[in-house]
Amino acid sequence: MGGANFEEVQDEIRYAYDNTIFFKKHMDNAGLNPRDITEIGDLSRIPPTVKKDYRKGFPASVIASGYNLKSPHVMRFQSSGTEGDRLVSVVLSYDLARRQASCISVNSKFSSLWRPGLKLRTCRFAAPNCSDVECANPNSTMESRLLDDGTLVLPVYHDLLTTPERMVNMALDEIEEYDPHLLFVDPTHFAFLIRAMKKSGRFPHKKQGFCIMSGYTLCTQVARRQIKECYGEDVAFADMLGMSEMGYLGFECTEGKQHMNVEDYHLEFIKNGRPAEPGELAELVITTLGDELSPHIRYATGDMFRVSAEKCACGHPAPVVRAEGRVKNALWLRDDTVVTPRELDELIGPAEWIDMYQMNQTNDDEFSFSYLRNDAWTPQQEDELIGKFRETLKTNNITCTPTQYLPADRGGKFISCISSVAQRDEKRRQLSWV
Amino acid sequence: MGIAKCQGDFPVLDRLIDGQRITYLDSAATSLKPQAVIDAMSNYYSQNGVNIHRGKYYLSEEASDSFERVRYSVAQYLGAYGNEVVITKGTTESINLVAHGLNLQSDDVVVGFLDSHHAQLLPWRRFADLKLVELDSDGGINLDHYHELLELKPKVVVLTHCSNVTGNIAPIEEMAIAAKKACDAIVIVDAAQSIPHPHLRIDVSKIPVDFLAFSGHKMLGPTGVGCLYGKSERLNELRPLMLGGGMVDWVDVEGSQERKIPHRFEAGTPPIASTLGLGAALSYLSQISAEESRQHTEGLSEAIIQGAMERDYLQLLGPKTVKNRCAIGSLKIKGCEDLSDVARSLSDSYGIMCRTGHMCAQPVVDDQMDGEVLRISAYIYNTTDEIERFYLSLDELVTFLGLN
Ligand SMILES: Cc1ncc(COP(=O)(O)O)c(C=O)c1O
Ligand SMILES: [Zn+2]
Repeated sequence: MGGANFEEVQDEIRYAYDNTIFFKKHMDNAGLNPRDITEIGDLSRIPPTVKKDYRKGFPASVIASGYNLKSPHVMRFQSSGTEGDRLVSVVLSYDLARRQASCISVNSKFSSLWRPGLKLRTCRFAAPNCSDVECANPNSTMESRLLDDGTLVLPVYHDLLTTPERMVNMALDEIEEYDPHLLFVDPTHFAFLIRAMKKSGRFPHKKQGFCIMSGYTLCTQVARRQIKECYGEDVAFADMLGMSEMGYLGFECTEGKQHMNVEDYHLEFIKNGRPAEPGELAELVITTLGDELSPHIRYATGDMFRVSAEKCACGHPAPVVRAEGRVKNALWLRDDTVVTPRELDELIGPAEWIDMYQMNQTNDDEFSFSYLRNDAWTPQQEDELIGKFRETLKTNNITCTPTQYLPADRGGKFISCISSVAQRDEKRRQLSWV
Repeated sequence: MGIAKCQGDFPVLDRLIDGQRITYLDSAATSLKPQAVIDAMSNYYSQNGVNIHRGKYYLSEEASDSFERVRYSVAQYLGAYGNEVVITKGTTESINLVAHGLNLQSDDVVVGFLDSHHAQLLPWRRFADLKLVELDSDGGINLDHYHELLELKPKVVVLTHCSNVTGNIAPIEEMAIAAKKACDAIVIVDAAQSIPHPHLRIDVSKIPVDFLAFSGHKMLGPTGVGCLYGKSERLNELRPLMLGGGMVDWVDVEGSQERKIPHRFEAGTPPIASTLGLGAALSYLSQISAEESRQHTEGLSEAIIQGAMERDYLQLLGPKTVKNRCAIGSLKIKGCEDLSDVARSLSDSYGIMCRTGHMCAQPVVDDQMDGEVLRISAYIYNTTDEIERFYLSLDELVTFLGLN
């Protein structure tokens, strides 16, 4: 996407080729040289790179020569990921800040975060990204969770719904005490905190004068509804698209649309190996621009998108997309078509009778939907939703169970739509290079 | 999948002994294992084989992830939270862990039941003053006696959901509510015999149960693994029975800081392969509907009861109704003191595997039957034809052994 910055893309390719062991080998194996990439159409000759390459190559073959983990401004990110998805990546702090700024500039409600001279205080409430033993420790102190960049990591258990009341209160107390400019939250985690807050008779520390940014996992409408109900429609709330590999990729504008960052990346949306048409389900393939630490060339993300051809009413020119969720979380129907996590979420909507849900495709044509229900529940609403599921998933083989507990994965992430069928190679390959 | 066609999933049923197929009627002792469970275990050993919660390396994380996923699915099956499920060696260890950890005094009253397993009797007798609820005239639980004993304000009430001798299913919901109402007693359920049956699933979010114990091996899973469910408030107060690696956050020369629940009860390397097998067993069982399970159980129970009632030389222990019981029949052959010849011949001549003895529940067996019993117990892979064949074989045997 774009193309105006093709020279920057060429520079990145040359830089990666000259400075990283991995990408040189990658090009050599494909019988290519950076000189072969002379126009935008040549780009597709480069086989996409994938997470596995970076996991295998970290650190020696994916960090550019001249840098190491101790170099100034190097930040390290770890995605715990289950089942071989884990990865350690590095980003230069100023690259991260630039990507963040480009993204957030689409939403005027967040401009307060970029006041010159502001020493940003952020509270993070999301899955703890370290191992069970050392982290999420109920006895940890606020000081021990305060990062150099001014981020206070709030306490939470790995298995979100088992977080004890004492820790919930600790998190709420710390928000009050730290008074952050920005609450950076996993939406499902934050909705849990809000419910726990209400249950213990507490109130939000404030309802304006700060921003809430959601990230990490797909922002479900039920989570969004709970956040808005608690903090009011006017609170600065937006969903951020990001990846632990490189940081900010896109941001929600005041019209509620996702705008992609095309200043710091060259983006391709690929379907069956070719550029996708607007509205088509496609995989995002990213090339970083000006990343001197760990350049990524045609990095296949395993994330699905639909690109919109329309101009956004907010007026911002950055391209608008709809994030459809991860390839490995897609629901596969009997006729070999796909329902994405986002499409599923559209069916459920803000459902005021559901607090949290998980759709799980356990096998071909086998789905189980579990959810936390609340006092607004009626049997009609549930029946209606099951009806919609049956129609959209084209099967009657869907169980629906209210529960009080939904486990997070061991890394602490809670994914609202999961599928064992989507993990199969023959399915995955239909949607992704990953 | 359905119960009707499941025999093919159990490789041992293809085995011939002296050219004869196996009729397995001892599932109350342990169930057979389906291929999916065997695969889950051997897959762990052939593809992974490393320890959990130890390293940062790929294989260890992979093993830890799948291990913890089993804990989560058990929790979901029980209506519990993930941190309320402790992986143990089985029912026996689970109950001992609770009996040991509650800090009971020797004069604290614990109410138990005559038809319980030794695992649910002996630990309580060691730590407290165990009083047993008697059975009524047809071998069911004497609820009046239970209510009487509740007036002693017991600290703990130890229920057995399904007796492994009589097959009787106790109304545990009603009994747990009564225990709470009478004196807010801690309620512990032995679910070893009920958890194998989807229609007897207990939802701990709906019944006031504080602890629940079961074994993997009776529910299609491997031996060496089981679970203790404990309400988080209760687990937080329970004193760990075992100390060692994996249950502490840190240790220095002076002391240590225990990990949060449930890990503080899981000292040492757990049975990893068995736990993964248990996970596979649970997935297998989840494919059987409650209704199908109920119907199948009632069919088998009817065949067991009917076969016994038709024969004068047999006495069946426990209630004679098809409802509220599992397909377990404890039989006394009148005039036969030593059942070992019968059991041996059933096996060698007819390929029928069943058990003799006191069934680890000597008080009730002695009380009701005045000696050993021959027990048949059937499960999803059994048919009513097999029960009939058992009785016909028994008819032949008792004649030739000169017993009637
Ligand atoms: C009712 C009951 N409780 C407890 C047990 C003991 O189980 P395990 O030997 O697996 O610890 C059994 C097994 O026979 C049983 O039937
Ligand atoms: Zn816009």
